[in-house]
Amino acid sequence: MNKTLKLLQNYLLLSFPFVLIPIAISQGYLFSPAILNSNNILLKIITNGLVINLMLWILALAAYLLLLLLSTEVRNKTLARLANLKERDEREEYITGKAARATYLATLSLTLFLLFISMLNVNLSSIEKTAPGQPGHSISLGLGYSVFTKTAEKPEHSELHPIFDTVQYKLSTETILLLMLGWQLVIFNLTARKEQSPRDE
Amino acid sequence: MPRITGKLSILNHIATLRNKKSWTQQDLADAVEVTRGTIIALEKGSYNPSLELAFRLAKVFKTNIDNIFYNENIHE
Repeated sequence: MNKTLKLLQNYLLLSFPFVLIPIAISQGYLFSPAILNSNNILLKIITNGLVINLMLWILALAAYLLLLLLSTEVRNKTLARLANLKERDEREEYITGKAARATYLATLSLTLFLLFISMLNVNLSSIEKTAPGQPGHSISLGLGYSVFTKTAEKPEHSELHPIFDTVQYKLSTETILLLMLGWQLVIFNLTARKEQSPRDE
Repeated sequence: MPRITGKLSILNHIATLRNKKSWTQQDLADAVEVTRGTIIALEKGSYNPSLELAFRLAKVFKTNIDNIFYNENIHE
């Protein structure tokens, strides 16, 4: 298991630059379409090789992340290093404990905030005046929750012309998850650093 | 039964004892199997050791725990 894990880790790390190349090509950052469409056999072999490597890399990443999820041993070995967990002696274990507590509470508060923000709907619209004395603008505040993602709905009232609507600015799921990952790493490391003596190595 | 109130301020003579033996902080850290950062924190008083570490220090300095650690601000 250890050898397989090491092999997987090394493959993911070492072949990452070769994964970036086909992505850069597909986005148009590398090579013009004329070069890519040429009949050069060597070029075709290289680009096909890179694409196969990209697919293998994605599969290897999926396998590795599944292992992280299911195996405590793998988690301890890998994520401890990523999260900069130092537990060489009792004091560092104590600091890790305090930092973990601070991270848990900070993440809980961020999650509550993000949940609220994702449920909050604020809409400012201008109203087409059909009668004198009618208000020119409307503002609505609401809280909404749905289990599945809703597509944007057309406004019920055709005389409302949206000026500002928070629906357009809702964070995507991947952004929220990335934010939470980064937040946890930052809070943990900041708290651990604060607990350590300034003259530590 | 007497009650011990107030925050206990635990101080120590670790730096003095270490200097008497001409040991560096790293030497002491290696002897009691902790990091140099822990010895620094102990000497500054910003960390109180576990009972196990206190006994290790006493063994290394060949003295009693009472001769290494002392406290202030005890109110009975």
